[in-house]
Amino acid sequence: MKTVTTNKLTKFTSFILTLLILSSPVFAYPPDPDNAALLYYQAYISYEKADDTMEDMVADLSRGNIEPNERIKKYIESCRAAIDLAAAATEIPNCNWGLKYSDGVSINLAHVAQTRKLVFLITAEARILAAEGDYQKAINRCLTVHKIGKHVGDDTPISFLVSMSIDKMVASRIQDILADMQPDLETLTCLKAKLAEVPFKTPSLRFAMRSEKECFSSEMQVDRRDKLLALCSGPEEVGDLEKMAIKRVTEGDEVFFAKNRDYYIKHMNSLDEVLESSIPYAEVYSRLEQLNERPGKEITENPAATLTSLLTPAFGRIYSIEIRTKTISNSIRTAVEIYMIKAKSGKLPDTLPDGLPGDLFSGKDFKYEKTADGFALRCQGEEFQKGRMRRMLEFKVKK
Amino acid sequence: MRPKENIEEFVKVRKPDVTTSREMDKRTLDDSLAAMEQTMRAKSADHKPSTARIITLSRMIKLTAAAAVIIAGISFYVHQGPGEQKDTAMVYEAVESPAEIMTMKSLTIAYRRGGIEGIENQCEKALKILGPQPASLSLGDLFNGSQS
Repeated sequence: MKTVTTNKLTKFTSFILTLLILSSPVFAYPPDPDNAALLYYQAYISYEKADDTMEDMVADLSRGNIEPNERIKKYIESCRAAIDLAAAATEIPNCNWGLKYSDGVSINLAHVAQTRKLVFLITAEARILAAEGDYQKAINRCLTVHKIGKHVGDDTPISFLVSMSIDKMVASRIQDILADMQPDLETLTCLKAKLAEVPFKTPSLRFAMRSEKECFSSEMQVDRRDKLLALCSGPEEVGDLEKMAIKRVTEGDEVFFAKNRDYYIKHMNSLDEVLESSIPYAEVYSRLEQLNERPGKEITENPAATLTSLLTPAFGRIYSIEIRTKTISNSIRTAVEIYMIKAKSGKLPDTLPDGLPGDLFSGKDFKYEKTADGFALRCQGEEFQKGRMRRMLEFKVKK
Repeated sequence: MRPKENIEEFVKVRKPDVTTSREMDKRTLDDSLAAMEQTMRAKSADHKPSTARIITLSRMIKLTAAAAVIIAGISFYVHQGPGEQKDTAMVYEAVESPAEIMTMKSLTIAYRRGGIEGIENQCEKALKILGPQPASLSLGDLFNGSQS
């Protein structure tokens, strides 16, 4: 009887001990960060500062203006830790830069400069990999940068614009790699799948505008007039209307600032409503432009329009940048499909297959045409039939 | 010890006692250069020197110039008066710091002046005036103290 009891007790004790060992958190490492920004910030302090010549060489290589050389390769290799940290950061969906919003317009956005440097490093490495024939890895580097662009985000209109600029850069690098390689089905299938993924929130102009509204409206106070006046400075000759506006801001009292704040908030809300609507690009652009002109027209009669007239950027123009960048991204996805057809059948299609991402300016499919070097995707609007946008949507096919 | 090393040693040892000003540095350099020029002109007018003399003269000129440049350099960095140092700091402050040029305010102004390119130029300007970044530092490096 006693032996049976002792056996049961031994078994029970062993079971409890095993359970404790298995579930004990004491021996585990803390988890890796769940905020990508923490890894990016580590990346910024993990590479050596290059001299100006090297900085320029890296940027030139990234842009495809020069060929890779041993010096650049050595420098990029010395930045391996930074590149790896950035790549690890892109695996984390959440990215909170920890901006100090309470600083208002003095908020520090130094991370965007550092991020651009990382982007140049990684895209320069993509060029090196492509030159060595490792197209798969080269494309993966571009996709890393694609995710970095999304992480830069839309906390402010500046972040949003930098994010758009990175997206455009990625599209251009992928376009060059596709032109350089023989269409290879495996690489293209992988690229197609990754471009279709939407791992993070896509930056939006609306969110950036809302953030600017909060920031600027909180600055519209009598005791912050100097900051506001600094924002009004420009390189061009100040016209009579601007002179009058600046005089008003310089002399304005609390009532003046309160009325200006209300006007500004209403104005920004109107812009937001236009962006929220699902009307075609041309109409959105036209309405944004009309709204943007209003404070300038009202300023003489209505002093409350003064600060809005001085401070609001041309959101129509920024909206146009957003649509252009997204259209270029769409063109890459559509082009990948065409390259895949070429890889499968050995020739380019005669017409564009249905259901591919299209031209966001017109809301229609791209106009497809074969060219001497490959093919081109055209936007439908007349204004895109010449100039940079036309050239940017031309794709070469290696023969 | 060779003459060049003698001079370097002299400069190293005597450095704390040397008190110079910008005017004195300029005068030292001007005098050295004038003396060099006079010597060369006189020698070439008097007679054709032998190869050995040319080599000796050339070495002396180089050493004299090196010593003058070293003294001028050291005195510029080490013996600046407090007033002069303050001036330099003020000049540096007048140039915006990376933190200042990367505020939303500065970047917004840059955008208004030059669009996206304006922002990009501002970012590059910030990176150019940032101080040197540390190289990557592993735990091994920290324990071995190789970076200290």
